[in-house]
Amino acid sequence: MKNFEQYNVEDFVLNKDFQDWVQGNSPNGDFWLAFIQQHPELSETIGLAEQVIRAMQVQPRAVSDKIIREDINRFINRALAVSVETDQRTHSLKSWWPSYQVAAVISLLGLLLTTAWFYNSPKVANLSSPLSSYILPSASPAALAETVNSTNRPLRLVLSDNSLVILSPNSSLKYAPHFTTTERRVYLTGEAQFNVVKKTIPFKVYAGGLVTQVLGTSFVVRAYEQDAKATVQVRSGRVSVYKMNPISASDDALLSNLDESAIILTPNQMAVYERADSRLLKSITAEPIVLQPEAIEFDFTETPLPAVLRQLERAYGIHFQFDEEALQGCQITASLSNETMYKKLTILCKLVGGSYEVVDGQVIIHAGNCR
Amino acid sequence: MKQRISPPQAQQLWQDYRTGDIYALANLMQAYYTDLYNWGLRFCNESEIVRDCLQELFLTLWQKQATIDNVDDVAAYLFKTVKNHLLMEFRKKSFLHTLGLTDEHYSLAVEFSADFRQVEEEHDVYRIRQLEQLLNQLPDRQREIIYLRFYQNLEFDQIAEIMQIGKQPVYNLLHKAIKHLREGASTTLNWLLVGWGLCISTLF
Repeated sequence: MKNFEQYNVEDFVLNKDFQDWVQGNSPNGDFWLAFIQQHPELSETIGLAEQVIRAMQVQPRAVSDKIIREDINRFINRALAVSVETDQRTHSLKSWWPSYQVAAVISLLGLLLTTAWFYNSPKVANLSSPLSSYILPSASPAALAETVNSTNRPLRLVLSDNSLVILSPNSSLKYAPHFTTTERRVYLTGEAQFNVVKKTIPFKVYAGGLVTQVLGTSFVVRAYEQDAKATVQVRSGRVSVYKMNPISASDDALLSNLDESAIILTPNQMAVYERADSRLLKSITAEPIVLQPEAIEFDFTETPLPAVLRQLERAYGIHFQFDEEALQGCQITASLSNETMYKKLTILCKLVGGSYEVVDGQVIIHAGNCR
Repeated sequence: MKQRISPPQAQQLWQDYRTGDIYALANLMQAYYTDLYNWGLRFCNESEIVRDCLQELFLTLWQKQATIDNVDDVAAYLFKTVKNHLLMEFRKKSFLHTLGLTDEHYSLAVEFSADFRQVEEEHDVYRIRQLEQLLNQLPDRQREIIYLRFYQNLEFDQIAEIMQIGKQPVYNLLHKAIKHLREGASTTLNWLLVGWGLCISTLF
């Protein structure tokens, strides 16, 4: 504890904590109130110190949030246009899934920024770009904005409905600067994660011959032009995916298409579109995530296999097919908290001498016998 | 109160910016924009010029991302750079540089105006007004320190870096300024008390 009893006016004024208290930012407000009560002899000194600090203020010249947004957009646009000195360093291409730390900082500070950036920067799409002709429906939409991520980092965009798009490197997205009241439609080449704000108006992603349609959910579309496959992976909510009709891309045709061949994806499922033979298949993502981490216990002691499988089913939201009666006799004692879903399945199958396969977005267990 | 990012957050953004993350730099720009803008106005009262200066400054930073060094204190570095940038602009446009005037010769526009939000007593208001006047008569360098310390809430280390002088001189100058204020205020207060004394004595 400092010897505040000996302080003079200068000392109090120069004390950061005292300054903070006068300016109303101190976590120790109670301390100073108590100190003043206990030391009436210092009231004149403290009073003057307080007044000095109050006098030392300057009228802030306000700069509106709008101006700040504008200036930051202006900066980003200009910065992306200038070349960077000695940009020869090789950047380790981080997994496109952004590190959460960076993401947190960005979303904390940059939300306004990305919103504003979106509102202010859209360039009119260059319709002669090498996008395959069928990607843009013949009924060419009004002026679209296009954002190209030529950086080596994921790029965050906020669309006019507040849906968030994280555009991977070497990818581009075309979108209406303001969505109409009837549809929210975007065109993707490359890869992007979408966190779509729930609305009654469908949100459609056109990419690599596929249309992904949702009302509100989180999913990843990957459709690089050089890849043989286009995929759609679901993180939350429900997504329908269907093939684009290259001949007629009017909405009616798309809707009828939806009825015929759409597949519905739930979390941890993915759609794979083989471009060569135009086959659209349902599968499971490479690394399914636990959807309800708080409710799931993966430590098993002499638990019948069907109960274990149902536990996994709930954890990953994926349907497992198995012969309940045949597996009832299999008792499992294992701790499976850290493994991926596939690893868990491999271990379980090994324990009972069985096998599994992924068919149509489901897991089918072929079990041995436990007697 | 201003929402300023913490030094570790600023440092993290600086590191990200150095690895080529333009959004990290844009976030730094956003986080300090109001402070730097207000600071810039101390050297040039033209809002547009200050805004352009901030554009140039951050663009330069972006172009130097691969070669720029680590900085100990991001906020202090930005304040210092804004100041240097504006003073340089100013000198380019004036004839002063031909007279051999250096960095130490610049004027600083700080008009102190007290925060009366929690002041109720009439004589407190009176005394704070007196202090305000005294403050506005202080030499430029002292007002600069007071502005940085009490308006921008910076630490002595940061102020020393921005003003390119040692930490001890910063402290000494500030101490001197406050002493001057205290003495000036006591004088006026004594006169007030004498005045009251006279009033009261005439009552009896």
